[in-house]
Amino acid sequence: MIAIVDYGMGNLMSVQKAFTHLGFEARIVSEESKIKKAKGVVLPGVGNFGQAVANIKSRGLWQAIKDALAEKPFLGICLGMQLLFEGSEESPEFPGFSKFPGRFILFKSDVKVPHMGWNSVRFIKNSPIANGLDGEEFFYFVHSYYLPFLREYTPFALGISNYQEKFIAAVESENIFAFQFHPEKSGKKGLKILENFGRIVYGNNCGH
Amino acid sequence: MLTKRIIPCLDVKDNRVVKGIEFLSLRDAGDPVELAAFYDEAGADELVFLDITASYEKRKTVVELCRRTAEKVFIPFTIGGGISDIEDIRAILRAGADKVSINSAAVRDRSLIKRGAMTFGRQCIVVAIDAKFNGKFYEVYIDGGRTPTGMDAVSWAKEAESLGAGEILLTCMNRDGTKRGYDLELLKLITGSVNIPVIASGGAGCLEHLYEALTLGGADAVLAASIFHYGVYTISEAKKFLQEKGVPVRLVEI
Repeated sequence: MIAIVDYGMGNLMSVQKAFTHLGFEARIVSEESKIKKAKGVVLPGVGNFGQAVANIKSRGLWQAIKDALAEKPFLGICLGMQLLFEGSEESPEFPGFSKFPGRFILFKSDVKVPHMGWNSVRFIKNSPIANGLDGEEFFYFVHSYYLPFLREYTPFALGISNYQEKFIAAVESENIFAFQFHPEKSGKKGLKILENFGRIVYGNNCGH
Repeated sequence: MLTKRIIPCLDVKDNRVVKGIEFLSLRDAGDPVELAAFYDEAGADELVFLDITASYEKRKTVVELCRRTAEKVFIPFTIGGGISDIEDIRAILRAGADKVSINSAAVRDRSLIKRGAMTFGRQCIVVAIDAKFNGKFYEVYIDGGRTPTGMDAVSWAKEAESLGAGEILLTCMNRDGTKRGYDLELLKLITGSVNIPVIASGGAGCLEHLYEALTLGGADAVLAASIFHYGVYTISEAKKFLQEKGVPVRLVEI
């Protein structure tokens, strides 16, 4: 089972329906025990960084997510990607899971904020999560904070996009995959990513 | 590069599409979910459902629509029409919609925008503005265009932004349904005054109109009903036209 972590923020229904549509069993879960039992974990989320950290902690899910990050196929989406980093200018007093180095910053007002809509992402390396996708594809973004693309992030950077400046749209490190955009809202190309994740979770067999 | 969005609008009443369905060869084009899936497949960037159901069971039917849509449609969709309180917004977003579009209720109770944005994030709060030129300024109308408010559309758009709106859906009532093109003057006024995306609506009759709204008018997205529903143009024809003229769009292989 793929566990979609519910910590009270964001549109979880769409992620679940997308997996169901693809034939993978995915459940929205809010208990530690279910995260522990899952074969793969999805951390979605929309909203405020600090609020998300506070919610995850107050629901007693922090350790279970941390453990999952260390050992299971893990997918972060949007705020769920940001939370895997050290922190965000949005809530400087709340550290994230710090699986990746870097802090998110707010887009400046010379562009429209939030960055909302379909933008192109260039994949800078091969990855099983991007199987079947071209080197450059469009995905749907909605976010106000971003991680600028710096050379030192190259080891884990998977996809780069551009809005105001080059920023990191996708990251990968062993079992962890995370996207600033919403694969569940990005039509067929986004579904492809979720399908690839499902295959990674179920060892290339379908989880039907 | 961030692309300009093409958004078909589906008018829905009692869970049936009420406009322009007879021209599409779908098994049941009256089913909003089937039509939505058709547009997703055809390359639409987002969808807007304008729900004009008026029964006391409205919330239940809208929630059901969202739930069914979320099973089949994997692009963002917005629900508008008669949303009046936080509980409506909550129910709709929980059922799988990405955004709600608020019109009259936002004018009557401005705190709704603020509370909606604080609770769910500003990205999901679209403020819909229906405006009509009254000889002096573009005046905001509510109640489906029946009630003038005396408010200036430009200052209302700015206020909505400062209250927490994530997007403005701007309809020029003088042009709606005329096929004479979007009102570029109104569009320019609004897009020049706010720093959130503006969706142009009302008046599209040909592809040139989409182009004008997205370039001269400064819109980030165009909403259209008739030109797509009546099969005058497909979404990909519209996008190819725009791309050839240098507008960034997301082309989809079909």
